Amino acid sequence: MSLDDNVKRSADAGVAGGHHGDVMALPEIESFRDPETKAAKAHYDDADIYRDEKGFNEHTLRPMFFTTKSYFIFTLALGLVMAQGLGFFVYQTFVGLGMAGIHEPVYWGAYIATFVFWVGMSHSGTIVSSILRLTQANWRRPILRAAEAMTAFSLMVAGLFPLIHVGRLWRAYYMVPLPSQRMLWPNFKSPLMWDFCAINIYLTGSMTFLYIGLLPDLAVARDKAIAMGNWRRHYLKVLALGWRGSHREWSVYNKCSLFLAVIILLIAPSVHTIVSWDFAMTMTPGWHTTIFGPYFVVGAIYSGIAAVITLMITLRILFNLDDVIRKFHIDALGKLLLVIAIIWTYFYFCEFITNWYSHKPEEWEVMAWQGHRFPYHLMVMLGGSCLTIFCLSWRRFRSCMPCMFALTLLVNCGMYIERYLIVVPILSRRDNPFMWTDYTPTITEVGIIVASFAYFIFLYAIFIKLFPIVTMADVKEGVIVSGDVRLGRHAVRVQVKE
Amino acid sequence: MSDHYTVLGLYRKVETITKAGDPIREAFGVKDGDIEVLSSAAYPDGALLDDKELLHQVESRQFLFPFLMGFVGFGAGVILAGGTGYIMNLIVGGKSPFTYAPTGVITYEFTLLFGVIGSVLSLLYYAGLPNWTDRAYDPEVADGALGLLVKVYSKEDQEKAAKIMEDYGAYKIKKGVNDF
Repeated sequence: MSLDDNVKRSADAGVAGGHHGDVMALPEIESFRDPETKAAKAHYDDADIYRDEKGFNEHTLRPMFFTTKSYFIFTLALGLVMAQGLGFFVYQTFVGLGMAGIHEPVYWGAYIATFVFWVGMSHSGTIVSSILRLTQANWRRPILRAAEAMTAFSLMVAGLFPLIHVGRLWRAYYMVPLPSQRMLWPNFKSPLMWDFCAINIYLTGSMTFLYIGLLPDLAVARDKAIAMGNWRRHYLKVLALGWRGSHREWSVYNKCSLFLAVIILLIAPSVHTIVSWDFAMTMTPGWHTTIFGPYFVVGAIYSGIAAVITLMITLRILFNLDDVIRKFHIDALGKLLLVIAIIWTYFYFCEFITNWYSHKPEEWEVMAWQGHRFPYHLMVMLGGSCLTIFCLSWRRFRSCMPCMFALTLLVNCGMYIERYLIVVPILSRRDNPFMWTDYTPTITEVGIIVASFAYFIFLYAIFIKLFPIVTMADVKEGVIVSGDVRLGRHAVRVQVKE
Repeated sequence: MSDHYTVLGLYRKVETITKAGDPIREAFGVKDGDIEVLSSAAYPDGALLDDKELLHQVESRQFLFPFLMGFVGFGAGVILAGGTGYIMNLIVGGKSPFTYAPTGVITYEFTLLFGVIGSVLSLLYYAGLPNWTDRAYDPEVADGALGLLVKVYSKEDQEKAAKIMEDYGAYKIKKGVNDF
């Protein structure tokens, strides 16, 4: 049977969706993958390289099982950066919060700005993963794991900052509803308590989502580790739960993934909305605004997607995964980033223009005070909005890996500064003019914040060595349910959808 | 004395394994739950094995787990946030001790948390996990082989099933006892 016949018959039968005619009379899925079309479909950049599944497994598990000397040097360097941060933290804990630059009226400084930044970073992973799973976007497959892991680790880092910020770490358990003789009980009327609940629940949900997604790949890694006699087999055996990929397991697993995707999609926006309410529920000029909820959520997704792209490009280069995480995926993520950049810019101007036009004295004083921070705002505007929108509009830019790497770093620099500008200047000009002052982070704060970045990278580096970083089962499923057919002089990818 | 015997046949192609399923079912009158296909990736329901009816029964009950657990979470949220207001009542200007906004927020979050737990429980319960016992399996499945696994109740049937699998293109056969 010729390929043209296949195309015609599949079109008649509705390969991409319908179920008509005699199913067994249709051509097999393998027959669609005609070598002839390979040359024609170069523009797809998503070639059919996964025929040999064993080779694919070995290739994608390579970052896990083989470690170079430079990896150890890199993690050691990260360990040193973390150690200096830990040193500063211990010093601050003993000496007191005076070591940080926060003082009246700026009680929330760089620690809280960094907390908001890390919570924001966590938002893309699971949201993007959930949306792409639910919409069955085929290009999602190789990037899911890295994005979901990013969410979990960002939250783990974010969760440290309220503890660092409150100073008296030993009283952190006051937030937990534990019956005690002293009748200590959390006050659920406080948005800070909502935040505590939301972040912990989001962390639980994200970790669960990450683990459930890992399950089939853990089984593959388990088999590989057992065959190699590798030490990882001990924990992989336990964590894989005895998965063997039966039809029933897959069916139940897919349903469970669907439930989790929907639930995570409901949790994630609520978390950053609640973080925004830490600010918006106060009566502070510049914070008390209804736009903060969606503005924070969009900002979070924005910085998160930028971080996913940065991470993908890094993984591509460091672990030679350029045939798994392809330019095509970065291009698709770039388009998504472009859309979010436009929405975020809209919110940014909405917030500005309402204050500017109403010109309420207490609000305007806060805004006017921002004037001398113009370079920061310029950075936010360039990194966060104008430059990003301009650059991402060009396909050539989106497929240039160094350019995308630099741009996404710039986006996150811009977003960090934006969070800083939300937290600090507003408190500097709060209510009583006799209290007005400025704030600059101290070396203690800078040291701890730098260590938090090292901690995030460290967690990621460890994760890569313990678990498969590529969503192997999803990639394989993508190959199973799709194929290339020739349509005239073009190759067209078709996908089976249920 | 053993309860059942298993045969696991490994195949390389989708087409071959789908052809082998029906003769085995016909030869031994194998029920839906006694035949399985092992694969390293998810195939659309019914593509490898005609057990859609059985899976449909499972799926139609599976959603109950997150749904019911969500209800439990809803109750926990109301009791925790709303109940705190009643038990540790701060009297402020005649306002109700029950605070709607905080209770709503906490209840929402707890409903979803319990929904997550329910989803995981549904997976564990219906997929029969965790199961760390030695079950019929071959590591080649992880490398792309497709496994047809059948449960039969006599040694003779086990041999016959193995023969049918071989005839229908299985490149490797594994036999076991009580390890379905």
